[in-house]
Amino acid sequence: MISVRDLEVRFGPVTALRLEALELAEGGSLGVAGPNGSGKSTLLRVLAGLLPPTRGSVEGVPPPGRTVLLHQRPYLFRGSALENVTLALRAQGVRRAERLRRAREALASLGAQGYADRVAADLSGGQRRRVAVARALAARPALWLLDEPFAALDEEGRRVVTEVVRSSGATWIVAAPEPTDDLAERWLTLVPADASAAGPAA
Amino acid sequence: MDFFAEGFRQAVSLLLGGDPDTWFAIGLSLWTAVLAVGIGVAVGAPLGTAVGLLHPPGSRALVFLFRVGMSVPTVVVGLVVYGLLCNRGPLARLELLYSPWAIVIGQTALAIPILASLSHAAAAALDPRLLETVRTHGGGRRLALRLALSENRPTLVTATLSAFGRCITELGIALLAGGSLRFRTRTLPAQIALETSVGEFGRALAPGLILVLLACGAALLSHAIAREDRR
Repeated sequence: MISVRDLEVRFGPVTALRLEALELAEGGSLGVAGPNGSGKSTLLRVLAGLLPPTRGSVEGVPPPGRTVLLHQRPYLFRGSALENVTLALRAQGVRRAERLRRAREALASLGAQGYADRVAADLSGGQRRRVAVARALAARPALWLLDEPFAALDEEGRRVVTEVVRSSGATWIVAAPEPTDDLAERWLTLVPADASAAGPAA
Repeated sequence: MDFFAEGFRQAVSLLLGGDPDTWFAIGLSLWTAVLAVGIGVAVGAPLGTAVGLLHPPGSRALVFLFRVGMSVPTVVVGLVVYGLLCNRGPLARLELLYSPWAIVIGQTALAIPILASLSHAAAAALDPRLLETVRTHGGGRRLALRLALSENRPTLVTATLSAFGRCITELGIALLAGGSLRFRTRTLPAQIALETSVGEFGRALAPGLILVLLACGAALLSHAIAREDRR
């Protein structure tokens, strides 16, 4: 069970996020909606362990590597799409041959095997997104943190990514500008922290 | 112009004729510079990248030292190496003064700050999502450092060539710590200085031509690597 209590993140005088409570059972899904500046990305970065909260508690979140954040604009490294997908496996110390095999599998799950050997910098926005999802998938996360995962994806890409995340059996939290039923079981709407505090997830 | 033309003809003739002094200086200069830059790459690039990427305590002081090291005159470095290795110096028992190793030590002190400083600047300019991406996929600092070095390859090539240029052309260390001994520690710049001082312009121009050729080679190499890297 992921549990967040009385969370606040401040950057100097600016309050970027304020959240009274959030609970999510293992295997469940939660959507976080809200306008720009409401703290969606900040919340995901706190949950990913990349940003320490100014105040409050976060419990039950698997460690980095088991919790994978997919950035709104994914960062791909130099080299091929395949090499990018091996990132988590390199971190785990998996041998090269096994890394490449599992990376190809992950790319195939996203329908991205056709550009496995292409240089990442030459890929389109949608292709980069699929590679980033494959990279997260290869880590076999227990918790996905998806920051506007459908940006730059067409209808088919959106369907494939949704299917991959759902079939992974993991818990996931997705941030999007508007609540969308097919992305999560329930939604929490954030408002800019300086305007008002967000309440518990409905 | 006749003076230059005559000097140039003599320089080419010395090089093609296998003049032992010139060819020894070429070999020694390449050996010391390549070794010093190799150590500089191995130490300076990871150090600068780590400071720029991970901001450990003391980063500001280190960056300041890198920058100072980049612009310290080579004659001062030569003087310090001399002070360390001379009979009354703390490292006298190593008996390295007036040996090629003394030159390598001094040139390494030139190379490391160049590589560290330029690597630091490149790492500090990297997208912050790089570190977050590594961390969220379970990677640690070592993997982040390796990936950052890979991301900054073009800058590292430029830094390496800059360090090579500074090392192979330096005179202060070669004279003060190397001693400019014939067939032992006389590098290309030391030979230029010596031959010019005795009025042998053609003999001074021969190593000068080699330095120009090396500069051209380094620029071509840099261009080729940059082009390959864009693919």
